[in-house]
Amino acid sequence: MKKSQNSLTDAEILRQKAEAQLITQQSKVSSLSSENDLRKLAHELQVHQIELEMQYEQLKQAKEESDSATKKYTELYDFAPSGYFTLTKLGEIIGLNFHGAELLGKERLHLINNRFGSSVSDQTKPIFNNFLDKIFTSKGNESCEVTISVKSKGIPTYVYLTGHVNENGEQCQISMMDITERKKAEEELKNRMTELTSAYKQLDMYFSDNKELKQFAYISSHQLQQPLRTIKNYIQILVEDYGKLFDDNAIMHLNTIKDSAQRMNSYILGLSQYSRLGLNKKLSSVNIKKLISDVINDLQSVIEPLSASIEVTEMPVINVYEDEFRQVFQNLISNAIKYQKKNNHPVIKLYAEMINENWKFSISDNGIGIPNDQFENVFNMFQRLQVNENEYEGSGIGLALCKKIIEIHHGKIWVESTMGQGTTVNFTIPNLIL
Amino acid sequence: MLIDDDQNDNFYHQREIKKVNPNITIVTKTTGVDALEYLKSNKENIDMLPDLIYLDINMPLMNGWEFLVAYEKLDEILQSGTIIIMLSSSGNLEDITRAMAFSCVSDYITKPLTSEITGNIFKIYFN
Repeated sequence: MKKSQNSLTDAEILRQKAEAQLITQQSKVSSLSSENDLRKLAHELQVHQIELEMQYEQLKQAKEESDSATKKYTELYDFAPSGYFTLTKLGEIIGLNFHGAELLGKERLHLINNRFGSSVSDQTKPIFNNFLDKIFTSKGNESCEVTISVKSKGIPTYVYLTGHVNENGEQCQISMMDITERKKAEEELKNRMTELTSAYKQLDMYFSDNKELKQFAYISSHQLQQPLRTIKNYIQILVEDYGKLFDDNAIMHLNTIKDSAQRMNSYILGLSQYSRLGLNKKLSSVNIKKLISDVINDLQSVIEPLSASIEVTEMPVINVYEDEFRQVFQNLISNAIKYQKKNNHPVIKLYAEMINENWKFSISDNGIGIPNDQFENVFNMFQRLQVNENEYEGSGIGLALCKKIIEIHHGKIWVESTMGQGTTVNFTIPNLIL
Repeated sequence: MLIDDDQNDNFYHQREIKKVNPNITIVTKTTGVDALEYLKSNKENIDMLPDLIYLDINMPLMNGWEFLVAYEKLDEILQSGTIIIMLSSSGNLEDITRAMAFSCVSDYITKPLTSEITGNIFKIYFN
């Protein structure tokens, strides 16, 4: 308001000057002789007066506009969501807005002429001092992050400061943004990252443990074979050298020992195979039709005596771990042939279809079937469903092996079956990239 | 020559070999170190060097692989006229490939060694 009073006074001074000028002109006019000239002059003066009045109106309007702009700017400044400060070279506050005061946790009046630095936390004070020095030396825009210790809040406020020196080079303008929330989020993110990293490390450890476990299974199965082989070999020696001394019962017992040793041998081989799965796997593009016909050829010795019929529909060429994948078909076709009613001709069908980008393979048979409540259990290691183990010879590893192999391919395996009618084993293989 | 730490295997394998030809002289060594010592000690006595070595892989002190490395460094005279066949309980492809990488190794068979197998080997390598 003081300023506008001043300008009114300016207007009055202007008026006085104008009147003074008029008097001198009138005195000049009186010395003129021509009435005509006088009239002309009067007209001119009147025009000037109107012009002046119009100019005055324009000035007044401009002044009002400027006042309102100043008011707007002051409001903007005072209530801006950022804190604004004007500091001296020594860091004394000579001007600030409301939000700035709020961020520092003090009233505006109590901050004027105080050092800004006294609100900055001790830990970040050196950062602030360096920032202030740089503003006055670099003449460009500077920024930094510091914490403000506000007693009433208890927790520190993180702020982001940007500043530049004023034209006079003696003061600087600083803007301050509250970044506590952002800092909190960053902190949270950092904690999550640490958690994630440690979880990842644990997972990694688990996998390497698993590798050791595999190694253990491999070595132990290797070692287990040794004494077993000795048992078998020495039974043979016994039969060869002392066979004539044994009666039928003794021979029968020896055969039981031999059969058991043989069964244990197949368990150990299966375990060894299982433990080595995926150790040296290599993905390649495989013609499944060709792979299946190879497997069928290998199984001729069991297929022929039973006159088993095996029907194979169109098969795709897909990316799989070939050796492992071959084993899946080998085991499933063997099972389909093996688990049959006596004197039944096995009828086995193999077919494939594309479902949601995954290949689904199915192998169906007309065998003895699997009870409903065993659909999951059949895939467990050493899980055999036959009460009389001698009726259907198996190691109880085949399907466990299949499941593991399919899982290595990121697929799923499941069975459908009706007792006495047959079983269908299904599995899916997703599109694997070479 | 049989190189195997398992005495039971050695006993059985000897029996099977003798079934093919009872007049064969069989030397058994339970460590690779002993086997190398035997070979070196017969440098002047070439007749005592084996025509055929059956070599196990899994052995304490010096395993089959280590034996092969040491064997290939022996005097040429000690190596000439000898065939090495791996005889292991492991039928792993890796082990087989690894064995075949040694130029001194002629064949790879998995235990147990039967009279049929050794009979075939005699036919193939010694007629």
